[in-house]
Amino acid sequence: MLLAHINVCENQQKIDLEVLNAALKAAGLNVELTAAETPAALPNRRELTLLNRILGAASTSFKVEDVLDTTCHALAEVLNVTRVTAALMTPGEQEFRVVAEHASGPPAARGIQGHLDSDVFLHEAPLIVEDGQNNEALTQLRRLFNAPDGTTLLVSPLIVRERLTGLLVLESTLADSFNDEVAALMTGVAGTLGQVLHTVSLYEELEVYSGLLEQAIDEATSRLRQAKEQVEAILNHSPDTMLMLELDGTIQRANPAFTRMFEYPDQTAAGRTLGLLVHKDDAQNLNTALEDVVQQGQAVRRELTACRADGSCFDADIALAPIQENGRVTGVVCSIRDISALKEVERMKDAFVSNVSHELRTPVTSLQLNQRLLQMHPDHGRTYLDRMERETERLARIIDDLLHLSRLDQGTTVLKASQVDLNTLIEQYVLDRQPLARGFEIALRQELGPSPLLAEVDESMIGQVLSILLTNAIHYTQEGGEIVVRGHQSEDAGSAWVGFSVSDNGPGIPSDEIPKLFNRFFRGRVGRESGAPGTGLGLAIAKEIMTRHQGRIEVKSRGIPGEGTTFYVWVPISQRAAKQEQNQECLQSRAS
Amino acid sequence: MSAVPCVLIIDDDEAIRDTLHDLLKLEGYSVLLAGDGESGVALLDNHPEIEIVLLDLMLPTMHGEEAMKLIRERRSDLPIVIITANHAWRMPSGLLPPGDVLMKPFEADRLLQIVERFLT
Repeated sequence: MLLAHINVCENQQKIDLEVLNAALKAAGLNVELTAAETPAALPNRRELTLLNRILGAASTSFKVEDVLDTTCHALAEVLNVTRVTAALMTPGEQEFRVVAEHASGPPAARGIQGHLDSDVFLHEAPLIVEDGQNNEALTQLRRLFNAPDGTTLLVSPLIVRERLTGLLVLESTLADSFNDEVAALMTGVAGTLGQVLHTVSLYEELEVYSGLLEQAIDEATSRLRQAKEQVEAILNHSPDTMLMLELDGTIQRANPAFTRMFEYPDQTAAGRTLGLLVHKDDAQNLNTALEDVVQQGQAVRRELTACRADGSCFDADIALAPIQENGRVTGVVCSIRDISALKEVERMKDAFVSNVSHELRTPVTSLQLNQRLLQMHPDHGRTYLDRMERETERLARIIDDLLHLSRLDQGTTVLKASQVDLNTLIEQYVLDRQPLARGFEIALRQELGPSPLLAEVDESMIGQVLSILLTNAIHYTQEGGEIVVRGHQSEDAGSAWVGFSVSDNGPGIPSDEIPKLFNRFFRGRVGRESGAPGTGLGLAIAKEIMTRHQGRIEVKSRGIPGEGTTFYVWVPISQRAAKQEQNQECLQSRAS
Repeated sequence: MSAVPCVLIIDDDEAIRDTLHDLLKLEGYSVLLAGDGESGVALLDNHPEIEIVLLDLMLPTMHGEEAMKLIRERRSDLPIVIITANHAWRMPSGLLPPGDVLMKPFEADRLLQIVERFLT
């Protein structure tokens, strides 16, 4: 609080002080004016008028220029001087800049440069600078303000926070204009003006900071909006279910994946309990995990069985993580990933490893045991040696098939495609397998398709597919049975296909075995019981070969003995053959 | 217990089945053969003289573990020797003993030792 003692007219003392203090308060100045205690001190109406004008300007405008302009006008008017100039020091430089002026003569220089001895204003009191004074500092001061010869200056320093901030210069042509009374008045005016300038400068800084703050808030808001949009985009497009949970597991919010994954109607996630999304056997496990997250503040993961709205289940990877505020868990975020495909791959891999182990170790066991039998009972050597030979061949077949499948899997088998007529292929393989079929007393015949059946295929690989199907058919057909190999051509979804089929009238394949038929190492009950040789890999190899040819292999069987089974193999027709066919059709239509 | 101990072999692999049959016969055991779990359990019902079962795990239609449960329901004290090529396989709790596990490939002497251990 700054207390100022001002001489005021006794009669007006109370009213003026109230007016002034109210004006000071309105201007945000922390100044309180009090009356001089000595009644002998005469009130100074001029000072009050000036202060009133200055504070009035400060309360209506927070611009330094406006306040100084009003001050200059008021001083010129009240004190009846030639010129009043207000100059401010440029921050960081020894330079004054004229900010306001009221003059009857030529203006002072707008930019006032040059050294000014700061000691001049050591006592913060105004200086009366008369013309012709033998003082370098004062002479320089006159020069700075273009003071004409014969004039007297009254220079008041404007001090803000104990630093010289500017000058208020009165100029008069009358030698006795500036007496002690005027100097005292200017001391008060300059002091008040310093306070006003301080407040105004603070206000200006405040305005600058306010602008910067507003800009920073705008930028931060924009960044937050952007981040929110990014998070929402991630959540909305995530294939994983994301849930916001209350501490007891009640769902607050869910992303769209929840509806897709759990097949609940839209907007029905909120209010459900997390435990209801998993199988009842896993509910306790999940609740324990949730308690761990809430109590220990650490993320946990569980692989559990999740259940959809219709009760169907799937393998799920469920991750729970705490949402913390000031070290306190206030909620839980939960992500649920459908890992049923991954689990199926794992199960298939385990089954494959188990099957390979079984298929390789069984003949090896048989070899070892028969070798021991040979030692124990050499008289039956022939039996054991025959068995060992069969087991060795079985082992070799399995290894060959496994290597073949492995090469197909890895894509290291190079497809040597050429134009092949499937009718020719059928003729070759049927002829080749006639002796084997005759040995089992099975009739093997062919019905070729409309010649030629041209396809761009690897002849050796497609031949292998036909060989696998023929061998299977021969092994699964009873004596006296019949196998027919047919050539085919068809149109399907606008594409032309060529292929062949192998039909037998054996025991057929039960419907429950058909989906597993092309699985590796799968052997149907009939195959196992009949003792027919086989590794369970032949059809898996055939399927891989057809996949590599963008073709397909299909099976039709009702599992009724005697009705048998038909395997169909299809590949896209050769492009060259397709064009020739189109040309042929064109020629025929023109001729007709 | 009969004078000649009887062994039931349940294995779908004909070569293994015949080989084990020959081996045990040469050692003086009586041997019964089954190609799957169902017929193995049926044999057990009709032949109370069976004193030990050699059971392959990878069987058609009925898995070896299921067959083992059915055998245990009938003869809880009957030794069962599991034969498997799956070295990662672990015995479900409560099924053995009495019994043992033989991982393929195994030597004849090892098999004979185990059978002899349970029948003496």
